[in-house]
Amino acid sequence: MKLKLHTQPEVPTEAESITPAIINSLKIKEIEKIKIYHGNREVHLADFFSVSNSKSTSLEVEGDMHQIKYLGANMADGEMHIEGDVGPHLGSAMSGGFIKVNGSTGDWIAPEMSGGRIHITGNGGHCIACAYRGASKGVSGGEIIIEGNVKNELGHGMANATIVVGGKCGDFTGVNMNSGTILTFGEMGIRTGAGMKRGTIICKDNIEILPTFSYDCLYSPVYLKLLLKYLIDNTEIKIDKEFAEGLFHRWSGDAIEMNRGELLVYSV
Amino acid sequence: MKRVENVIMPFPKGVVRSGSKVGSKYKALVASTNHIYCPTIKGVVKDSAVPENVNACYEIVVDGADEKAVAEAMSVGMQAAAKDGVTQITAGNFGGKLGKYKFFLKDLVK
Repeated sequence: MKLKLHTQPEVPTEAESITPAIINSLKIKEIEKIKIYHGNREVHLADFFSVSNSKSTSLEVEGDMHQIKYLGANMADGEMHIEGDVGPHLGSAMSGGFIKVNGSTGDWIAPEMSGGRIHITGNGGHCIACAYRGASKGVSGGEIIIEGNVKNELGHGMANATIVVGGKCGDFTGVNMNSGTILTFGEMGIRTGAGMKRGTIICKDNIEILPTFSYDCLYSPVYLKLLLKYLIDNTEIKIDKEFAEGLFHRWSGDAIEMNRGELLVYSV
Repeated sequence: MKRVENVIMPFPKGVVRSGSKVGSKYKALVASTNHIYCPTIKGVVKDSAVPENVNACYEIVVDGADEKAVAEAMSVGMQAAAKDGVTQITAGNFGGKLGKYKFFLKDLVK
């Protein structure tokens, strides 16, 4: 199936029913009558999207959807390809499947994600893979690749997920993280890894280390070579040979928490 | 060391990728990484034995049929390992947990 945005919503619109499992199981006329929320008003999907059949088995969604929230929410399987920008809460609570966005996204991407993959070729907003306010754990699995830049609080409270950012990150990357891996290639903001319990943050940028981290050694983690090979094969992120074969300074922290996290900073 | 008779180095290629110790905090695990010789947690282990400029510790386990064979293997092993980049060579029998035999390195290099 293919959905194409024909009318730009005036206010943020919640369309959590746009998932491969729901759309691909219905006929076109049924899809057009799916209810979505335009602000606080219930409207039909056809009021904003045109629906057509496509040869692809994946769900294709097209248009400037920066006002559309919750695309792919609760996804458990299937594939969704999005051409254009999307709004907040993409892939919220998804547990499986694959979302590819050829564009940029809003804030709060993939909150409460437990599995599946999200690949964004553009930029991301604030609080990507972030725990909701008051929650001690955020994403608990899956893979998020953002080829562009992201803003603050990437991976806040994350547990057992893998996040890759090809560009710059804002402040508080990996703050309070429980476990998992964050790999970044661009300039970093301040206080990376603050309050982390376990997990790994790997930075190409020479970041300012918090005083609650202690220096361990210089080494080359073997698993990183596998992750970089995967990224070279599947993304457009530029990875030079020196970085792939380079050494990393390892810092342990955060001492205000369990002190079992690791910061790996590329040694130029 | 491979050429010395009556000894084996039981780990792959003869080299253990970290120092090991007898026992673990987990009951089912009879041996585990020797945390005081682990460079990657040097910053958080209070009694770490890893010097400041050291980034790797390897261990060679020698199993031998008799004391003489083990001593000879350790002697030639030290001669082979003493190259640029290696800052220290040490050995231990973990407070007797690995048996009654003791091999003093200073005697083996004479």
